[in-house]
Amino acid sequence: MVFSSIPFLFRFLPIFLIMYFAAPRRMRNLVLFLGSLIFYAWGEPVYVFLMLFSTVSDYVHGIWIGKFKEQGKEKRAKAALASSIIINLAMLCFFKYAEILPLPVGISFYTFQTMSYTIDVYRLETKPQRNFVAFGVYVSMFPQLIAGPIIKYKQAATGLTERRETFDQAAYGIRRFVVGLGKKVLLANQAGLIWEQISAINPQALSMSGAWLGMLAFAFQIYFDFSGYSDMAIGLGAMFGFTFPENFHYPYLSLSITQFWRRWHMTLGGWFRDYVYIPLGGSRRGLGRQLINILIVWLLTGIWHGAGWNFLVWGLWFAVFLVLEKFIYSCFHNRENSSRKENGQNTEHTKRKNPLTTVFLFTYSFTVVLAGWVFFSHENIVDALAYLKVMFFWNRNAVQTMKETIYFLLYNYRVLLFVLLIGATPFPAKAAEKIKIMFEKKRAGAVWTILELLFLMGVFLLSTAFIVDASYNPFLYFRF
Amino acid sequence: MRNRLTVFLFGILLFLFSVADIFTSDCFFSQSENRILQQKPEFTMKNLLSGKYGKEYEDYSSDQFIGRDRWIGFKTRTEMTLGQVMINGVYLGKEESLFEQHLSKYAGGDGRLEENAERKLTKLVSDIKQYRSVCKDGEVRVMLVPSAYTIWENRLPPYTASLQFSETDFLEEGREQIERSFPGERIWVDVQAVLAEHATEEVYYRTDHHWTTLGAYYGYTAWADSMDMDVVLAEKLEQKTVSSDFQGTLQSKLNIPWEKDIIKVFLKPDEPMYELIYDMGEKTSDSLYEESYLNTKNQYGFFLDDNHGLITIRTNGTKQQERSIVVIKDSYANCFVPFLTEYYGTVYVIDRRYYRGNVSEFLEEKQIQDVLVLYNVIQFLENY
Repeated sequence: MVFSSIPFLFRFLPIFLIMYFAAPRRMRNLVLFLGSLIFYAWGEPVYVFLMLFSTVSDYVHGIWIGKFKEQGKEKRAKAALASSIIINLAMLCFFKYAEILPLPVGISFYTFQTMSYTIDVYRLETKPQRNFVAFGVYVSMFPQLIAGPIIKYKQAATGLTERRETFDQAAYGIRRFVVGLGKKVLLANQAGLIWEQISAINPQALSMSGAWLGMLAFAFQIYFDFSGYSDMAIGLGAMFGFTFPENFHYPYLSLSITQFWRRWHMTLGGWFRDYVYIPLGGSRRGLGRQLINILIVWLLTGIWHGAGWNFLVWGLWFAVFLVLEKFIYSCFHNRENSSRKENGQNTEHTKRKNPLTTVFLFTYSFTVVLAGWVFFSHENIVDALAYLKVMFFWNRNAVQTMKETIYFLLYNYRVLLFVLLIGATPFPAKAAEKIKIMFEKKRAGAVWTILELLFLMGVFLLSTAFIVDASYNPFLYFRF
Repeated sequence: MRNRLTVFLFGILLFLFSVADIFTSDCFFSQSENRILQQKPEFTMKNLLSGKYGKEYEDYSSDQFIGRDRWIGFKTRTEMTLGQVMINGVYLGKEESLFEQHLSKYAGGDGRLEENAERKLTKLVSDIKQYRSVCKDGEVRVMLVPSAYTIWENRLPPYTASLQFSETDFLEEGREQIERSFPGERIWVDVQAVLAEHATEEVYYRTDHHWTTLGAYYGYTAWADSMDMDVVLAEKLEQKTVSSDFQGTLQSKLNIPWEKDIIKVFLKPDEPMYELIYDMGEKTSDSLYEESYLNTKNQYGFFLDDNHGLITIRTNGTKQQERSIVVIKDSYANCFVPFLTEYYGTVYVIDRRYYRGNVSEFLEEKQIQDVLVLYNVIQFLENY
């Protein structure tokens, strides 16, 4: 089941909310667990057993690891951990890369979560969860089961057994959910229409401006799709008293690729950092080793997204720029340090970049990201290269109608494009905050409450209208 | 306070819609969208396990969602407010005219129309060859009628005209191919030319994808000319308005009230007696028009009782009582066929989407003289 659908919004959700809040506190995990199984079984009636198998397997492994650790049997604990990881990875690899059976929805997300659990237990960062239902909730919790955010067990542990649902949290959750729903249905799907039209044109016939507009539309689609989904997940979690980690922080405004990856799909990056990058030595074993570690992590990040070669290239593409940035940064850093030593001056002012530098860095970073999306959106590498060629070199063979196609799309979607541009920046949130403070200063907080409610209701009703008439409602991150 | 209000308000909103939706009864057919809606899927273990149940239930719940028409209208109005000129595959053109979007493959269309062009023309040529071998003394004519967007190109929204699939190019190619295959014969009727001549008149509906009776009349004059037959002048016909509140298939996609279309019939001063037999005699009638459709959304169904596989029309008192013609057609012909009754004792109307027999055998069996193939260009490329 997807969040942006009538069965979820007007069947599952209300019924589930009643059951959840009518249940006594100690029963709520059971309600959440069973509800999540139904939610998953709706679209994946067979694979729900695969998820249950994974849950049981890691529940048992977690207890074993904890017991062996307690008894000081380090080797056995290690063996149990290895067994858990092998089972998870085997499952993931078989279903994701063998491509014999259809991909179970959400498998990349929940296997990563269960792995974080056994690793955390092994590292003594958390106690093993003896309550099977609580553990089941962690693995299968429907708000974030299908597309994240990926929650590390140590982040979730206390919430599983000791959370309190409050009105404040619920209201926050509603706000997040509605905004996320709007991002998905009103922005991502509409941006998708632009990309759909341009991507249908053969790359050989595309013009340069068409290629850029297409990639821009795709960039908006994937950002609002995925971050909208994360907002909805965080919102639903908040309604049930959970605090999920954030997954996005205006990634397109990054000034470097290093920054981009701290702001895009943050929980996946965090997972790889904690469980791969740092165990490999991170940046502590010299620059050379760090560069290799970066390469490994982004190779894995790439193939996490799918079996296609394009995802591998996509990951490597970023690795190249990350390595480059580390290299340049370390050069500058050393020079700065030595010059500071020589002059004995405070070089703090150099940290404030001048506007021209900012524009340059933004352009650099965004261009690299857009070019990355070309690999991401084209399964065939040859097509991706042809597309990139049009983006960066003039295409003399562009078809006659290209100009009109661009004009038409810009004209028809002019307001939408403007909203997409603004929506990808922190401006709307900041403006809302300012207006709120303004009203509160004038002791007219009620006006703000009404304005906010009207806005949320408008977004919710409009999203419903767009879902009812949906001819186009894909979920991009379902494939992962 | 603010938080409690948010929770209560959204709680009420969610439950109100959900409960109301559960208690509204399902519709089988949507009048406004003119289509059969998804019904509650059958719950079986097989459907559930294959995921079919889940998928169909999702379609079902949005097709049957409470106030569906109003939700779609709400969406359309919002998109119009945002300045969109293309909504749900419909162009919002000048003079309140609506047009179907048929993108050429060079502008991001799926390329199906271009792909089909050659195949369908080849099929047409081979069919004509067959018809001519059966109807040796008769005449075969082909009328491919362009869509509104071709004739009313200047009413399209900015930048869209050159993005559309070019019916003009296709018709040019079609004419060449027919003339090459049948040199020196008059098979091709240039409908585009005659409609373009009258482009300032109401030759198409604004809210529907069909041509009007007036458009069909001009089409008929072109056909009669090519058959060397006398044309009944428009002045001699009584143009009677049968509906002035027609909202067609394009309006359905927007689902908000639009400029109303007028449906007319052209009647002869001395209307003869007709006898119509639908399909294998399942239904008979004495009129070319079916009034009951005017009370439904599908008012165009007024002409020849909507679509049937085979219609037999016998007309008493025509000049050539023994002559007969077969019209192989799509729905564009429904308002055109009445003009033919002037010349034939019997008109057979065959819609190959529903007719399962062999047309050549039919021609032979009934000893037909003339044949007319009449399709809208897009319909021809999609369905012929």
